[in-house]
Amino acid sequence: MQLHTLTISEAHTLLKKKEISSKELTRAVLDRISAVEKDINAYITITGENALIEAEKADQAIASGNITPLTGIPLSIKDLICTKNIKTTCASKILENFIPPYDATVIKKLKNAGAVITGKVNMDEFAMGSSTENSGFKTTHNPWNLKMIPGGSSGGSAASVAASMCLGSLGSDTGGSIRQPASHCGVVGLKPTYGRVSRFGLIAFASSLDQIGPITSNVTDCAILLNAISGYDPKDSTSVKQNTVDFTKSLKKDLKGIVVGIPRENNELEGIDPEISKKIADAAEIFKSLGATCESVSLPHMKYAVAAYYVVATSEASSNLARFDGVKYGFRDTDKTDLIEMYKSTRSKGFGDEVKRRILLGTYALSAGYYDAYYKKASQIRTLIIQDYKNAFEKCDFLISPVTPSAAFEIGEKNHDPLLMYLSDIFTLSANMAGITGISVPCGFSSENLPIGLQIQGNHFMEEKILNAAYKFEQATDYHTKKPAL
Amino acid sequence: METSKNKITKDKVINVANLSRLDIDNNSLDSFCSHFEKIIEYIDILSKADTDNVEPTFNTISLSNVLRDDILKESVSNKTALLNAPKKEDRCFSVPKIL
Repeated sequence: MQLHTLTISEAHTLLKKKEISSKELTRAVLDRISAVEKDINAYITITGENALIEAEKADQAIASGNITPLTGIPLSIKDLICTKNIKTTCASKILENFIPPYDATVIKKLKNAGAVITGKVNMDEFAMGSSTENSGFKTTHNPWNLKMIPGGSSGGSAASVAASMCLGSLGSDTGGSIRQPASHCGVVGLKPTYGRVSRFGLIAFASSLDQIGPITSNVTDCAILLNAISGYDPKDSTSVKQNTVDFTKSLKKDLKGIVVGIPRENNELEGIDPEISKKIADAAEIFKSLGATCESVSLPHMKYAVAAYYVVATSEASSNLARFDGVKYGFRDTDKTDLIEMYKSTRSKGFGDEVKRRILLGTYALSAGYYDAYYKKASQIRTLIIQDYKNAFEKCDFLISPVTPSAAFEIGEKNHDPLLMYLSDIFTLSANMAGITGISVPCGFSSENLPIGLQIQGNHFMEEKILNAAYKFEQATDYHTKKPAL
Repeated sequence: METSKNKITKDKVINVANLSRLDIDNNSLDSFCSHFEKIIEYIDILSKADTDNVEPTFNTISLSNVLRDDILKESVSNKTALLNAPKKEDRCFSVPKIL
């Protein structure tokens, strides 16, 4: 048995029956990392020694009858979620040696559940990008085709799951950064409703848009991980008090009588690959065969979403990233003896070009004389986007759409043109603007054998509904069983 | 919006960089300007949207101030807070002279 290819729920069953130990499982995952990391470049930090200690603790817990669905399960963590005493870099030179003195709330929850952390995975610097090419350290490769990008910004998370270098991962999604790489790597990725999961210890990009969420090899595992990380946290004043839900319980519900909304704008977009449109149309047919009905809906302000998003996200980023000043943590250019010069030099040497570009754009949008035309206007359009979704969800239970306009593109193909890269987020970023939930689930392969994802979006706190839809869709297809040949 | 107001010049980029506490070196100034110009040109699509009488949204969960009782809680120690400081002196972060 190849232990590293197990799903979380399969591994849990074997651990519970004591047919395998967490130590064996963790060793198998670490061996797998050693074997394929040179091709994939998924990990920034591998915490092998620590992982084996955690695995041993998990085995002791299991022996004494204390087992949760995540006890002894090896997981990777996007490198912008703070892990106590483990380097957390945000894939940025400015945080290259930052060792958090505390755990993010989600990490605390995973540790309490007995999970094993195999390491910290690659991403676009400060989560700014759609390809992982903006990492300050290395570019992650798509396990399905090493010439291709894995998507971003949680590219290391998605690639590490697809290449069986962990059993699941936590990513973060500000404009599609969980769903888009999950789609490109043929795995499942869920962006929770804003406020569902604590952001305490998540290094902020755009605070009103960021959410942490799971990336896994199937929908059941996604529900298991979401169970573990959800919930109100007094340390995050934007987290919302919710009733405890077991997301694994609602997966198998019948879809009879469910109404699937299909936004007309899905196909009106310029530049969408017909192969993608075809897969979404096929998905609609699958939902019909499962007893659902499909209805056309409209999201008329989607055409403004990319522009509005990039104003809001960069404005928030310019403010959030002001904290990197070379004083409290991270890199400092010690050559400078003047304070302002020290700030400037530290930030200019520490940040990569895309991060600088977004700080500049955000500062510009917020500066005197431009605020009304950019930030205020974009925030008004945000209201209109929310209204569009509200209208749509009055007619349907959830929406289906592409995750991306095309399958994974080649490394180097778009990174010379930031705007072209921004436009690849068109289908995902509206969910962040509205604060709703969305999931990417595999729905086929391109003619070049690259995975394609289906996006299912649900209203606020409707994760149960979209997980149910994703699970039924997954069970009606076999795309999630395919693995890249590595 | 007037086009002249939104014209991206090198001086404008340098000014915004200064406000952002960033230096853009001469070698990359041209590429920053041209990318910036292209992005702003695209973003100007926003001016076409009718937003009369539309309230802006700054967060999606109707936030109000979250307050807690003023009770002393455990926090990080001075030593821990300084662990990642690039330069420190005694119990403080050290910065270049400002006066």
